[in-house]
Amino acid sequence: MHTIWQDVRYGARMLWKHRLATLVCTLALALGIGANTAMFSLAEAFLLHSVPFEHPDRIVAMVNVRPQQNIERNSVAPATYLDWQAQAKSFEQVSAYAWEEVNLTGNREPEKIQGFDVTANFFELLGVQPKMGRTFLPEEEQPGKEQEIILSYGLWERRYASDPNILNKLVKVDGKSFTVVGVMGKGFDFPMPAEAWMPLALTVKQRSERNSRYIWVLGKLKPDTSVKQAAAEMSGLAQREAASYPDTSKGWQLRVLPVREFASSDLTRQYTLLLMGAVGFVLLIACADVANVQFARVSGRQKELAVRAAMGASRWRIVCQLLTESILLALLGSAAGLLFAQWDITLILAHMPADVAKMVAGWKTISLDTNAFLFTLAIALFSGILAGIAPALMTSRSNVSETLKESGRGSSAGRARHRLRNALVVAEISLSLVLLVGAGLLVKNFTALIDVNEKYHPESILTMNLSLPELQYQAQPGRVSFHEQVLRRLSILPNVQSAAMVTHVPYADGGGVGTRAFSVEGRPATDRG
Amino acid sequence: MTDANATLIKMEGVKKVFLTDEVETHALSEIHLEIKKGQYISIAGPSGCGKSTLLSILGLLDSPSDGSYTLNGQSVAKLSISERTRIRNREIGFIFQAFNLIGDLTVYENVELPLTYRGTSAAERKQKVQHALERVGMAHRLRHYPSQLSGGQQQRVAVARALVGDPLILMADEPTGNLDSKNGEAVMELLRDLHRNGATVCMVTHDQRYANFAERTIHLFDGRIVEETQEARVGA
Repeated sequence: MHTIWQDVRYGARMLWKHRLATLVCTLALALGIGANTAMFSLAEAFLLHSVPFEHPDRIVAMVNVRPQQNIERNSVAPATYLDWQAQAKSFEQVSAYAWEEVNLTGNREPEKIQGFDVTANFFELLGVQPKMGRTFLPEEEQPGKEQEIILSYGLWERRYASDPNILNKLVKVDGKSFTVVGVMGKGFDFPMPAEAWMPLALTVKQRSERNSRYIWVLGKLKPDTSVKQAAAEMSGLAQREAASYPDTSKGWQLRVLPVREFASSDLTRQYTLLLMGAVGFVLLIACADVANVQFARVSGRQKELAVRAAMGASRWRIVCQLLTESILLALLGSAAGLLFAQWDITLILAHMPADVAKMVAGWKTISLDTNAFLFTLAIALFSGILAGIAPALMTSRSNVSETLKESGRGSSAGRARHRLRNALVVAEISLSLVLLVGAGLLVKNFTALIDVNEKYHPESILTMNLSLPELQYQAQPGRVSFHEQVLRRLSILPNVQSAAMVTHVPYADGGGVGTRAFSVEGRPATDRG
Repeated sequence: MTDANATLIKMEGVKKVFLTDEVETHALSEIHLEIKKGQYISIAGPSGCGKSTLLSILGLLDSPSDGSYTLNGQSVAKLSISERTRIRNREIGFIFQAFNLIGDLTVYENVELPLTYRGTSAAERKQKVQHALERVGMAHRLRHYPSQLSGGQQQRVAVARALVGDPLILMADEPTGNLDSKNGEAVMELLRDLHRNGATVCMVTHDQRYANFAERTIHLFDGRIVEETQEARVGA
């Protein structure tokens, strides 16, 4: 213990003595460590906290895929879900949900929210309890009895002013009265970006549908069942369904995904890992920088180290002393790095549009938490050792006798150190080139995206999402008349040049025009391209 | 425990050959040497005769190319690097021409250095350092740095560092080389004093005046022992 304290004291003294070199190294390490810590926080949020409930390891999603059309995940048909629910043996529970965008009206301003129709066991499967009230009962899955709604915490806070008496109150959902039976806890918005949940009530006709795919299925694995085993069983079920219903199953396959993976897209994972690799490179460059500086500093202390060896310091003891200095430097860098990381994260969180952020799984959990601090400490130790080990080993190997003499002979150790420093410089340049090329490609991609927008002048286009409540607009003539009125009234507004209606806004919802064909009403459909 | 007058160092047929860029330099040839406990030996000779090389081998800072070297009854050839380091720490005290104090350590920390490498307790270290500095008359400069001391004072601190671990033998390589005559004399008196109190001293010098301080002088020339004076006269 005394030895470590002695080395720390002496190391601190040396760092203070060479303040400029210490500052340069601290900044280099701060940038490298800070970038890694920030990226770790993002990766932790996106990859580990992508779902807002505990123990997600036992929960999987079962999706349809269609490889020949590059469809990597698709919802399933209601009949398929019901078959799985009845036949699958790998799960304690199977649940389902469907997207349901609804309008909230009543005595407040109309508001479109993202709701989800869910089975009664949905919340139980996920292991979450409401903050207030209850979840759905099995009988509420019956068509005609599904007039209950569970609010998200955010919706309850924003629209209903955190009313403590909200339970059993009626709210207007698409013109119908729904009873509020529960309010979920803060931060729970699964599936993203859920603001409300209603019972999934399938009619008899819907229960037999195999061609209409809009149900997302979740399963909770039995304790002794792995994802692989479940996937094997489900694959068998999917094959039997394909054989029984070839018309509706043609080309479709089944995929079982851990729910974390399901919640965050493949692209998110790939980019996150890519960026982690990139910042890892940045850290390696910083370590090579610091190693070079350490070489220069330690080279000037040959005599001191020889004296220590003459006094009885073992090589290992000298290496430890030099590594202690390196680690102290890295700890200084990590302290500054944490500040950089916090600044990075604040910048990222502040500049992401809310409409995009709400769709990114794990976004709300981005923060510098205990894991980030531990990660920072770990990479500080790693950086300190990496940056210091080569100079320490090379320097501690020098000829003590020759060094102590007034006029020492030139030694081969000096040439070896020179070669190693050259190698460090080459490594730095190589890593920097790789990073530059990667950054250049990213900038090029981003520029291309911006160029696309420039052709459409998005700043002058306002879009609105409109869906009519079924209850009031059941008949088509009514819906057509409403749309025509809206279009007419929009067109005559003073600052409106033109108005139009479309079933799907280009580039909306993360997609592009390239995946969908379009046609103008009253004209023949055009070919793609 | 070494008996008085027991053989501390014995060298037989020691050679040292340096190989630099395929050129062989025979620094030492056929060195036969014996040093008993309590003796004061000086190794004299002109520059380049191999004095410092011999002292490096004696002090386990270097290894002979051939021959045998026994230190305190133990053959050095069989020692591992860590064992050599341990012996250097516990049994040999070095005094260098250029003092070789570590500039970023205080006087106290410099003298304490050998003790920190053998795991001595803080209390014992303090007591030993204090005693060693008192012996050389530098106890009042504990918190000073080497740059704040004169050459003579630095060399005194270096002597204290060599003494602090109660070594079997003190090895001094041109201890007066960087000092003026007055300070040189003072350091030589110090060494003689230590010898009188029982220390075994092996000193390298090119100055015959200081060589005469020893009771036995070994003269080297071109890496060989050419003469040995058994009894030294007291220095003028």
